[in-house]
Amino acid sequence: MNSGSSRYLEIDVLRTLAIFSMVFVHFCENLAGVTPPFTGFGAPLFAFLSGASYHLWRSAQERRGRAESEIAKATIRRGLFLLGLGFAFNIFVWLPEDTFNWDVLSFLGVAWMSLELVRRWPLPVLAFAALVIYALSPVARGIADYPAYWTAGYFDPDLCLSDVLLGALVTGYFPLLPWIVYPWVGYAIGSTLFGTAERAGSARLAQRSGTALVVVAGTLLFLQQRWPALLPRGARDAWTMFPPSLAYVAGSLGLAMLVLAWLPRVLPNGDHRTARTLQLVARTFSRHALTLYLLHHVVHLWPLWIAAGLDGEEPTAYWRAASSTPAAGLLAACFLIASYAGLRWMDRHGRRGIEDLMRWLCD
Amino acid sequence: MSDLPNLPAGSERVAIGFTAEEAPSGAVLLLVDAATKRRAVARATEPRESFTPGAGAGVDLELWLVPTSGESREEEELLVEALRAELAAAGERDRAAPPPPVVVALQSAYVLWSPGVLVLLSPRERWLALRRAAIDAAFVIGELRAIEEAVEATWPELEADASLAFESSERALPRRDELRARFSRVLALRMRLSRLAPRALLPHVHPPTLASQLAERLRERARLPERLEHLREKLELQFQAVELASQRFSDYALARTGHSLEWVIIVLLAGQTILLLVELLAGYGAA
Repeated sequence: MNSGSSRYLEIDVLRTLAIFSMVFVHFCENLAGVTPPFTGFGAPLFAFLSGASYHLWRSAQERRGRAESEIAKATIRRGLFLLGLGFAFNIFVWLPEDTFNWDVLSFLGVAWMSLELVRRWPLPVLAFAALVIYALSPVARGIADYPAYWTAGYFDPDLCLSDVLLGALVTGYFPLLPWIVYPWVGYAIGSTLFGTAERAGSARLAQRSGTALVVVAGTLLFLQQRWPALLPRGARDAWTMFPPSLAYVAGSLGLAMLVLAWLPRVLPNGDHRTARTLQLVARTFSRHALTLYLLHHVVHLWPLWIAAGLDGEEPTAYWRAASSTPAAGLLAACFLIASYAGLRWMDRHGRRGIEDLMRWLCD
Repeated sequence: MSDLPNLPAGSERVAIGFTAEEAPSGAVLLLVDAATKRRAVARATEPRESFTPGAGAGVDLELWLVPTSGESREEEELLVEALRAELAAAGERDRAAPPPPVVVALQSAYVLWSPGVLVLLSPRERWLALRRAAIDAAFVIGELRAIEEAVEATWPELEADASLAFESSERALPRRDELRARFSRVLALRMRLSRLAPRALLPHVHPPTLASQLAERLRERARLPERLEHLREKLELQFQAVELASQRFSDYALARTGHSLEWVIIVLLAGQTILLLVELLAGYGAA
């Protein structure tokens, strides 16, 4: 934990890495049409950290003496806020036909509400439930005929109730099966790591579990390469984010757990300059992660839609074809530097971001 | 030989430790507790020029034996008064609010007692009998004081965890060892008190001797019966609290195991329901 504050530096650093990864991936994909090699790590980290953050947020509320029912209501309000924000984001940043594509914000809203239920479960039950969801996901994708809802690598459902619900459950960008596993496991790891005085033992447990998951992912990938016939049909996907294959979920979750348990050992602590700079940067990006998530989409997507509109083209005419890869990477770096300066200015002058709006409305 | 300059020649100081060691270092003076096999053992001491209660490792009681001739009552009373003042000053050096030293005058003997220090003034030929009685009484009083201090030290943590006597929770589970240790501690204190009670409430010996009267007077002056009664009440309350907390904890842990199994079944059923729902929705889509 940072001296003098209730923030954990390892969480701030991980969330900063997640937002950096997302910004670079989205700029490169949407402007240059290139998928960087580190694609697919940002969203799992975000989802995993949302579970750990829920535990910390809830503990802080309890320490302040808020009643159980009040905390439950605030949790649901926050979940609904994120869900609504997700729909608004889909409409205004993407296009109205993408309202129900079940992007990461809508997913996090539902996940946040589900944590209010699963936090009551003993940790072994929570782990078992996560395992059941993990194992059922490929089966559910098979039943739903997942590829039928995807066209040229994009989720493309009909606007009818069954497709919308199936999108939320199985076939969307971030469906509950299996993505809900990340915040649930994040909550379990958060309550183990940050809820007990015996931190070293909890860190060892997290590292062992993370290592086991990475080994499972490696084994699945190895079998898929060498002897795919040994695996059930639903488990034959390689490392894919859409659909989230078994190897991908186990590997990304295991890595997130390993890094969260390992980071406190390597991060600089104390009061020297490097530590203070790292704390300041990580805290700034982490505190405003939601604002940055929304802002970076607006900054790099709206100009594409507007330019196409002005040229009398389809709105998506310049999408994935607007710049070269180096230019997209440079723009992403410029965006991060400019947003750091902007966020520091906001902090100094007490300006509010979307996180503050959520707290004001929901807490 | 006396260490204190104002004590008469021939005075002796004995540093006593109450120990259950198999082979204690020093002469065994008395078996003070048969249940725990604790004995009063004379410890080696360095000469000193003031009363310092409880000084030295393994020293529980300092016994000062001062010979009197029994010829001049007035001189003896002056000496007792001087020693009383010395003891009070030593107590003030050692504690913030010390109890005043207890002075017992008995026929040809005087006893001055302050926690950790006992001064016995009597003719030399009575020292042996009086010493045994004084050590025994000092052990009982010291033991009672130790239990009182342990009981007082337990209140803050008991008050902080009072809610656990009503219901246990998930958050209490990691504190299993802590609760178990507290339960054991309070139970051990009750046992110590039960063993001590018959010795603290001894009936008067008949026919009385100087030694028996000394022990009785010391017990009376130390208000042993009243303190014992208060201690019993406090320990009863503390034991009820830890017993209730332990019961709630045990009930919760037991129920939790059952609930976990129920949740596992619910999770499996929910998984099956989700698959059915997906099948149903996919069927609608296809239609």
